[in-house]
Amino acid sequence: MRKYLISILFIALMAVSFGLLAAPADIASIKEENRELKTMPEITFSSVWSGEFSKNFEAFVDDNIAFRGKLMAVSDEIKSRVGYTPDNLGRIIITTSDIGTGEANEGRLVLYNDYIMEMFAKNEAAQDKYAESLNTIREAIPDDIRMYSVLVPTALEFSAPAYSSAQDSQKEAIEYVNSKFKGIFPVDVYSALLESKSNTLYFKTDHHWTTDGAYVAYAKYMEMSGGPVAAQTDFTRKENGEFYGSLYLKAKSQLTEQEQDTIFYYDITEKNDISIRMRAEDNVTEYGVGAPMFNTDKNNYTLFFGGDNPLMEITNNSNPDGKTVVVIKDSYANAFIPWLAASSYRVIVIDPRSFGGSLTEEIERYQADEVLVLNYIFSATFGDYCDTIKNII
Amino acid sequence: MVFSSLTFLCVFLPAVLLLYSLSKNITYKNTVLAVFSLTFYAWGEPSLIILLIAATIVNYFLAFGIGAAQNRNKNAWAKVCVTLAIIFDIAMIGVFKYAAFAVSSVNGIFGFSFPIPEIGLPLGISFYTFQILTYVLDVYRKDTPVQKSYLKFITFVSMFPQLIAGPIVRYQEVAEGLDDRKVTVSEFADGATQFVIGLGKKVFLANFAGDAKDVLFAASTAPTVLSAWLGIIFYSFQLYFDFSGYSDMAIGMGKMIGFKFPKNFNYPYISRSVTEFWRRWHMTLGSFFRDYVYIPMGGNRCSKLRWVLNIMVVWALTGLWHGASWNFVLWGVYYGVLLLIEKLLFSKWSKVPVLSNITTLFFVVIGWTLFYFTDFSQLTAFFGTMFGQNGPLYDITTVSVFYGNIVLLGALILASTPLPYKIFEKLISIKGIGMIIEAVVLVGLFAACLATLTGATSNPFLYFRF
Repeated sequence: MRKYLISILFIALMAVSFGLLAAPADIASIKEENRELKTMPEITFSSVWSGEFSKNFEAFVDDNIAFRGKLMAVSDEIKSRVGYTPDNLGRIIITTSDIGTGEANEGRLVLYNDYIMEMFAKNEAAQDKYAESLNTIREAIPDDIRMYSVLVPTALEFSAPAYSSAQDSQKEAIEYVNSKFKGIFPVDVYSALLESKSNTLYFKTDHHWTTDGAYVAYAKYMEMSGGPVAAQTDFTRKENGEFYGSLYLKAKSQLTEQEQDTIFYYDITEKNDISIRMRAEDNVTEYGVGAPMFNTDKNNYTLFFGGDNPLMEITNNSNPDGKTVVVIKDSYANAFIPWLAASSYRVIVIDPRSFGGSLTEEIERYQADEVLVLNYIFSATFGDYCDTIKNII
Repeated sequence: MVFSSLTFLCVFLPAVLLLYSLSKNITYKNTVLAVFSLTFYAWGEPSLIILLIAATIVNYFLAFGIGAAQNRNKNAWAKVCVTLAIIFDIAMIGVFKYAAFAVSSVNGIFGFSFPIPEIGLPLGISFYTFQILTYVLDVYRKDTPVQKSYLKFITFVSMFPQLIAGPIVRYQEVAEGLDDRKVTVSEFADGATQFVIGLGKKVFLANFAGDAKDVLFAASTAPTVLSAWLGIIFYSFQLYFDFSGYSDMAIGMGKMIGFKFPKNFNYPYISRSVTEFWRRWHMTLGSFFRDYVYIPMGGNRCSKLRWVLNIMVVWALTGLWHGASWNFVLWGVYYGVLLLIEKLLFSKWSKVPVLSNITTLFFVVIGWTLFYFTDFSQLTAFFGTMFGQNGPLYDITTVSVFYGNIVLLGALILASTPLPYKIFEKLISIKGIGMIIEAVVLVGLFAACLATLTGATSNPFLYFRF
């Protein structure tokens, strides 16, 4: 009797497993990760031979399993039972991180004091590449254009020493990269953030800084590059709802309760006539003409410009005598750009991950006065991103 | 493809079991098995299948040559064929696994700058080469008859349950099954249970221990003293449950398709001596080296000096088998030396309970440290940390990982002993409710594994281009 029961059950498990794949996919769980559902890859000889088909097929299976969200919730429940966290003690968990370039690094998160924060691990080989890429850009652009670098530290660097010291020092990593620059002016936003008394510089559940954090860096940048600093108090502070950020999704299996973040911004468009145009990856097709600086349809960090775009041309028609600044950046700059736009005539924002044009041509086209490269320090540990920056010249 | 993936569990395994069971014809079954096994092998890097097929063709014909020569009493020709087979197999593994290591070692030692060949390591080459060798050598020793069917031979070599991570199955152990096999309902049920238990070991114990270890070792800087120890202990558990979980799954699937694969692990972490540890750890590899290297070299039936040499050679080779890097050689030599010291000076120590367990585990954990670090500067720095030369005693990461995985740690320790399985066996033998308990464990564990594997590769991609 036992042998029949077990055999039949196992066969049933196999049938159910296959059935889970045949049943409709749980699209909601994919949407929650802000990405598209993987579709069945096309079978061609070259895709099979190169191993591309098998890789894509596995991704297809992983995405298309029915009840994916519910199964992941069970998984989270199991993972939360392997230990416990004593009161007032943070928890450190393993995760993967990527910045949209294909490379995925193993990383750690610390869950402490209602904050979820990325732990930094230096990567000197990538950091060397980062400095080298910026130096290459420096050589390629006209000598009379000043070039600045802003490397932004993250929330954990300014947390309690017991936690901040459990990661590699972001300060040392920033100084390491800065020391390799030739003819590039590093902006010390680290000290400015450290000195700031604000406790809203970073989100609790997202890896980005808030518009307050970006403002501190902006003020420092303006102080160094020379130019009027817009006062935060001149603009209305607006909130656009609550959200769980990018890090929450990675850590939720380890969390019992977590406060949401509030997305807020200072509406500089009330006192500045801003016009925005965007160019697609081919650098020819225009889109987003008249797009809002603050996309209030979004209640997370993508509120700023709706997220990342290959190239954005932001013109402040109220400030025709201001500078034209080209910003090469990761998503950290999205909260920074509105402040910079308030002080400039034009800001040209280039995202190296998707930009398909030529930096030098853009500099010439817009008669740029300055180039600013702004990334968060983690981006300088992704080797492929560091290479990508150089390739936009 | 790995066993612990949704593609394997939801597509590959149901498909192979379904098609396999459609006919009782042995040629049909072997064909299904060979086709699925080659697909399984080719899944990650299809081009490497050429090497596997080439190896089977060459060895099939050379073994055929050995048999034919021996039938005609032309032993010299048989010797030529077996020598050619050994040279071919060793050369194949030498080129594909060790060429880069050999060239870089020569460059390093003699200061040359020969270009280092960039050859990708073919999956499972160490396992299938050894399996092929057992066949050819057994044919030469007349321990087994020549396999005349190429289909049966490639089915033996490529059999997906054990192709990539063992156990190392000798041809003799499956020869009968290749000609004729029947799967009884009882064997299928046993296999299913063993497969699911192995899957559980891999998904929950190995992977979770690996995650805990990764948290402790993720920073590029050296961890604290206690993080180093805790991390390497988690790594020791990860290795054991990963490998033994895979072996359980392989043996379980073997039973489901009518083969009896040899046992590969027998609770090694309860050993009281290093000798005992190696009788319990990766048993099929140990017996391979014993039967095909150590004993042919003279074993212990020789002078003491020669015996010492035999032990050291076997263990250096065992180390090298695990990977093309000097740390693996060092790891093998480390065990050779430990075994010699144990046999010559501490043969009675294993009779001391608890203390002998602790000392054995200590040396095993130190061994895994040698195994983990392929970079010698990292290895020495790590040993420095372990023994308090650098870094603080503990930090927030140490404390967090310890508490955050305290239940896991208990489960790992317990599952390293025979106790849970004995309890399980007792429970399932209870008349009436025993089979219900087994059924609940089977279904619950499988479902939990499936759930845990879901989204495991998920890489949330936020904010970009949205």
